Amino acid sequence: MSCEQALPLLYDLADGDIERDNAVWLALHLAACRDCADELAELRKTEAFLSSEMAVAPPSGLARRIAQSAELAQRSRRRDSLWLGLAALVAAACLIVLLAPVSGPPAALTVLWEQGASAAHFFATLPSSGAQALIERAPGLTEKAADFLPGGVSKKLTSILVAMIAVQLLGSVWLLTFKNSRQRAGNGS
Amino acid sequence: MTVERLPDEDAIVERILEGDREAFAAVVSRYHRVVFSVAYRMTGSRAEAEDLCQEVFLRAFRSFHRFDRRMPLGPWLRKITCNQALNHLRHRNIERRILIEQTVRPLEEEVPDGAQDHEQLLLQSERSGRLQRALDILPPPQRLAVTLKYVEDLTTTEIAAAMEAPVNTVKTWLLRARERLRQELADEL
Repeated sequence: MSCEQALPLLYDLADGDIERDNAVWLALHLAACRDCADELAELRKTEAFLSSEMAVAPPSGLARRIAQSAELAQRSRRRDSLWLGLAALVAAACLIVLLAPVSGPPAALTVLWEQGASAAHFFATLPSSGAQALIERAPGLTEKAADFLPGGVSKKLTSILVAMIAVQLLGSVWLLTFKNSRQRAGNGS
Repeated sequence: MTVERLPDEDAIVERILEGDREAFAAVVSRYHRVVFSVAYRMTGSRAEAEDLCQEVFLRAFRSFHRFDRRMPLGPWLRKITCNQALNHLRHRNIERRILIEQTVRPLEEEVPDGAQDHEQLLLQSERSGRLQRALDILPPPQRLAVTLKYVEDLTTTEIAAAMEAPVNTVKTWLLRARERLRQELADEL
C-alpha cells in the first residue's frame, strides 16, 4: 500500500468507518511508514480540537424567544385563516348573486304595465335578446326597466357588491403589508 | 440531535399538532443548542445564527402537520437546519459577509454561558474565533458536513442523509475540509 492509498483510509480509521481488509492493510502500512503514522497522530489532534471547539453556547433566552415567535406566528396564522375564510365567504356570496338569473322584478313589470297590459305580458314572455330589441324600439321604457332585463342585475346592487369586494381586497392588502412590516421589524431587532 | 427518539416524542408531537405551545417549547429547549451551533459555524455571526435558528424552528413549527411520525424528530430538524443554512448562505450578500467576518468580534460574542475563569474564557474565545475563520474559508457544503460531524458526532451516513447527498461525496467533503482545517489551524494544534 502506498502513502497516497493510505491517506483516505487514515480518515476512515479516524471516523471509525474502515472496512476490515483496509484496516489490516493500513495497520501493516503504518507499522512500516513513519510519515503516515505521524499523519494519523496529527489527524487525531485535529479531531480532538474540532470536537472540543465546534459547539457554541447559544445566547441566554434564545429558546424562550423562539417559543414566543412561534406563538406569534400561530396567532397570526389563525387571524389570517379567519380573514381568508371571511373573504372566501364574501367572494362566494358575490359570485352567487352575480351569476344568479334575476327574474323580472315587480318594479320593472309595473313600468311595463303602464305601457299597456298586453305589451307587458308580451315582454315578459320574450327571450332576453327579443326583450332588448323591444326596449330599443320602445321609447316609453325607462332605464330603470332596462336594469331588470332577464339575466341581468340591478346596477345599484352591482355597485354595492363591487364596493364590498374592494373593501375586502384593501383589507387583505393592508393585512399583508402590516404583517410584512412587522416581520421585518422582528427580524431587524 | 441524536437519532434516538425522545422518550415521550410521540406525545410531544401529538400535543404540538393540537396547538400546545409548551410542547413546542420543550422541543426547542431540547434541540436549540445544536441548531444554534450549526447556524453559528455556518454564518460566523451570533446575530445571524440566532435569526437562522429562529427560522429553522418556525419552519419546523409550520411543517409539523407534514412530519412523518414514524421518524424521530432529530434527523427531521437536522434536515431543516441544513436546508435553511445553505439557503441562507446562498442568499446573503457575500461582500457584506467578508467585511463583517474579517473584523475582530467582541469578546462577549464568544463567551459561553456559565464559564467562570476569565483567562480560560479568553483562550476559548481565541480558539473558537480561529476555528471560525478557518471554517469560513471552506465551501458551504464542506463547512456544513464538518460542522455536523463535530457538533453532533455524526457518522458519514447520517450527514449524507441530512444533506441529501451521496455518502462518497460527503466522505470527500469531510476529507478535504479536514485537510484544509489542519493547514489553517497548524499553529493551534
